[in-house]
Amino acid sequence: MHISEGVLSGSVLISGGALAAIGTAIGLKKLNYDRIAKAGILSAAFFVASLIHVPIGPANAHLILNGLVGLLLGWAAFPAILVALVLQAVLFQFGGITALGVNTIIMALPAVLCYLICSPFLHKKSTLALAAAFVCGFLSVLLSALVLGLALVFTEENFFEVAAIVIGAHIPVMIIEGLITAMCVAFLKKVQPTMLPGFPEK
Amino acid sequence: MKPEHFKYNLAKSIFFLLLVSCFVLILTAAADAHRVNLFAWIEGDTVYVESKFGSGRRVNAGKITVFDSGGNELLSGMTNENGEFSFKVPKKTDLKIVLNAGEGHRAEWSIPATEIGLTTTEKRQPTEESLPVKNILIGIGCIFGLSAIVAAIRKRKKNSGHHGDTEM
Repeated sequence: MHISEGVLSGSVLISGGALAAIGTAIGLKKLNYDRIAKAGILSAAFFVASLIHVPIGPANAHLILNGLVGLLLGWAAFPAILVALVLQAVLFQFGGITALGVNTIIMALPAVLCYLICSPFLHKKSTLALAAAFVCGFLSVLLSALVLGLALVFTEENFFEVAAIVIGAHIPVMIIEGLITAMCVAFLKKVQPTMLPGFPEK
Repeated sequence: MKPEHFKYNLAKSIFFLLLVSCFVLILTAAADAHRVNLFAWIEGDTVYVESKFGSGRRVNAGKITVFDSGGNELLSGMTNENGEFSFKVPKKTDLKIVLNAGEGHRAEWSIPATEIGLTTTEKRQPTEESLPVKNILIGIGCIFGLSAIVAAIRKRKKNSGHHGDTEM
């Protein structure tokens, strides 16, 4: 899901960087003191998740976990994912420093969108909450694949072809991430419901 | 929410998430990167190119483009199903071989002009990297350190400044 250095044209890189900067600024604004530990740990989880290769399906796909990060952090997913991507680029040569902005948008924007869509359901009945969590994990990867296709549309000719390939390759990842997100939410609902977004404050 | 109660909650959630990240770390034993590796060597007047993904899978039908030192395209082609590609040296110059494996995956390999024309260069191969455990630990350390720094800054602001920062 990472775009390497030197693939995209300058204008795409710059607009990606600008959007990522806006998202990160909003995220930092919303990241108050009490959420920092959570953000750091989810950032670390995102950082290592990309090393887990999913050996099902036709292509090289790995876990992303952006749905989980988004669901638990909301807008703060932007800085969390940005930091993890910097370290992935430096330490694992995933993506690249110039493509950082675009990669952040690819992974963090769907995370925030899915957070906005799914988080209202988390404190409903447990089946509904689990379904919402699954959708969040599934949808965020799907949307990431679409944004990736969109970023590549200016360099690789056919948007639909690229998007179809990426989405096809990530179908197993989508299902697995949906399950992981649902499992985490089920666990947190039992053990630590205050960690879920929108916990009714007393 | 009482402060002690909250502190307890925070400690509990940190502990829980640490457990999760340990679990993820263990899972990475079966891990893999999706980085693309490309390497090339010369035999006689032919350049052989091999490519594969970090998982060891060969790059089938990846687009290879060869540039000279000035960045001019000399030739291009597709890798076969074994991730291989070969071509005759078009001229004696620094060669830059670029692989575009699609979906944003890209790798490069350079052959200096000095290596061309020698009968055979030994096959240079990048050492196969095992799981970068050290890098994983460095990365996690960096993230936790950064969170601690941000937390310290926010806390100072909170203590010195206003009181009512309760959006959660």
